[in-house]
Amino acid sequence: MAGTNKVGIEVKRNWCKGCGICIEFCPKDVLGWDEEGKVKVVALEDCIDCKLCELRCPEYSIFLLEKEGHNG
Amino acid sequence: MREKVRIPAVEEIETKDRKKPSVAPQDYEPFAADEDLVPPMASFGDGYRYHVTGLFHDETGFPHGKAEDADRLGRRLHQKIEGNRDEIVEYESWELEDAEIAVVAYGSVTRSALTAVKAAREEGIKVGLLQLKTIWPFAQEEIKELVNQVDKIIVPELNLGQLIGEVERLSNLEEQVVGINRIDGELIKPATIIEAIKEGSESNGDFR
Amino acid sequence: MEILDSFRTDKFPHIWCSGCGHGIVMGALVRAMNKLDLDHDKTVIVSGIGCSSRATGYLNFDTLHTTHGRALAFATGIKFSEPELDVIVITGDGDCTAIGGNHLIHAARRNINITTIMFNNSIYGMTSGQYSPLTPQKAKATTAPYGNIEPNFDPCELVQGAGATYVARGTAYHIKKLTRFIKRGIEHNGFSFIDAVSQCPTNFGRKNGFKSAVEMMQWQKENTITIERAAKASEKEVKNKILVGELHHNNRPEYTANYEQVIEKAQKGGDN
Repeated sequence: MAGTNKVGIEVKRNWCKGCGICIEFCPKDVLGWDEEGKVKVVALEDCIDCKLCELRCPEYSIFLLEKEGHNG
Repeated sequence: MREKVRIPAVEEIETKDRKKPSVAPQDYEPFAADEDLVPPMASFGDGYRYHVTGLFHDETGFPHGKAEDADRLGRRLHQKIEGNRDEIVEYESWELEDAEIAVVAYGSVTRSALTAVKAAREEGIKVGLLQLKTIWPFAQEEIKELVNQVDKIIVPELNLGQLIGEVERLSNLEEQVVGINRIDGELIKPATIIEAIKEGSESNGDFR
Repeated sequence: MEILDSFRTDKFPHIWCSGCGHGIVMGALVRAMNKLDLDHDKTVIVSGIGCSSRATGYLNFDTLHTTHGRALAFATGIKFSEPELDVIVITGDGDCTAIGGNHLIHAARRNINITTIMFNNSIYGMTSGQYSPLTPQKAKATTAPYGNIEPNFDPCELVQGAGATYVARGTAYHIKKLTRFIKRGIEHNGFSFIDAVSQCPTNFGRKNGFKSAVEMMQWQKENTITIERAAKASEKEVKNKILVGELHHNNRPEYTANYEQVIEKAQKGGDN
């Protein structure tokens, strides 16, 4: 089933400490590791806006964007 | 052994308000002190949203783990006390004007000391009492005066000698300062202090 | 990204280790406060000492980082002098139940309107992993290399027994529930206690066979049971599971309100 996220996911890389909580608990495997061991978005099209990554991020470094110019 | 405590009426109590900040919240540095070394302090709920911590901090109130912040803060707090010693040091004295012997007491032992001084005075011995109510800053000037005035200073303490060290430090005469020490759980009785006073008074000549 | 308005983001990234659950719990607190639309100028957050208690430095409110175990004592003073302020306490399991154990039970007994969120990672993390009153029996710690011989408190039963009027437990894994319980705790007029099960991958996890923070959160998922499910489950299913949910909720007179009444009475000059 296709995802519902139409806008994107913002990652604040300078705050991310690479714990992997968002990656491992993403129910749709939207997120993966980048070459520096931090999170990167790998399959935005599968994102279902569940926000679990955002809610569980200990560093407040990943956010679902809702619509242009208005961040939830 | 009961005494009365008198609680003053509300109108007898002077209220001193803390200095409040006059700047806007975004310009507020809660630990930036004025010349008197006291920073203006906003109350919680005033909208200043500041941080208070027991960690060493800079003027913003936040810790940065810097030795120079710790040094600056420690010195300011120290100077706030030392620079205001006249306002902080508290003591009471009895019959010291013409005294040749003095008792220096701190805390509950003052009760016995005062009884002893009054009794000795009735016998014509020129003895007085200095009761210290603060320990730091120390009543250095007052003790220095006393050291120059009297022949002998008796320091009764319910320990093996703490305050006496501070008094001895300011005395130049050997054996001018004498301790009475008790640690058996009993109080120092006026009679014991009277005895020490008389020892001094009888041997006056030795000190001159 | 609305939650960032509640933080002092110039202090980020925070001091907590990678994967530490405390950031998750602090996020839940901020989201709960946002849902209630609390006035940022009329909310005071007080903490003690330890990893959890560093949270106050990051929260953009009036914040007070006190001495070890004494957050509730300071918070009681603040609430007493300005009862209209919302007062929230952040504390750790050691800070709250060891050093501050007496403050905890008496705050609960008085039913003072303070919300306490205990960031519970079962260990003294900041000082490198000494066991706390909430370290499970047999778990390893720096001070229990052969396993902890002491039985741990159930902090929720402890505060309920002492008189708390809102008691709930959530975990970093059960993030939505945790946020909801914190919200309800703040709304509740009386002493609220939220046991927020968190993870310390550095000083608990490594000594106890967890390879990562993710594994520890997986453990939270597998070793907890909601009170709703527990009510229907067999004894065997519930055994050794940690209960998650609103464990206790009742109402009785609140401390500062009682105090107000006494002030009024005294000022009228009536008989005491």
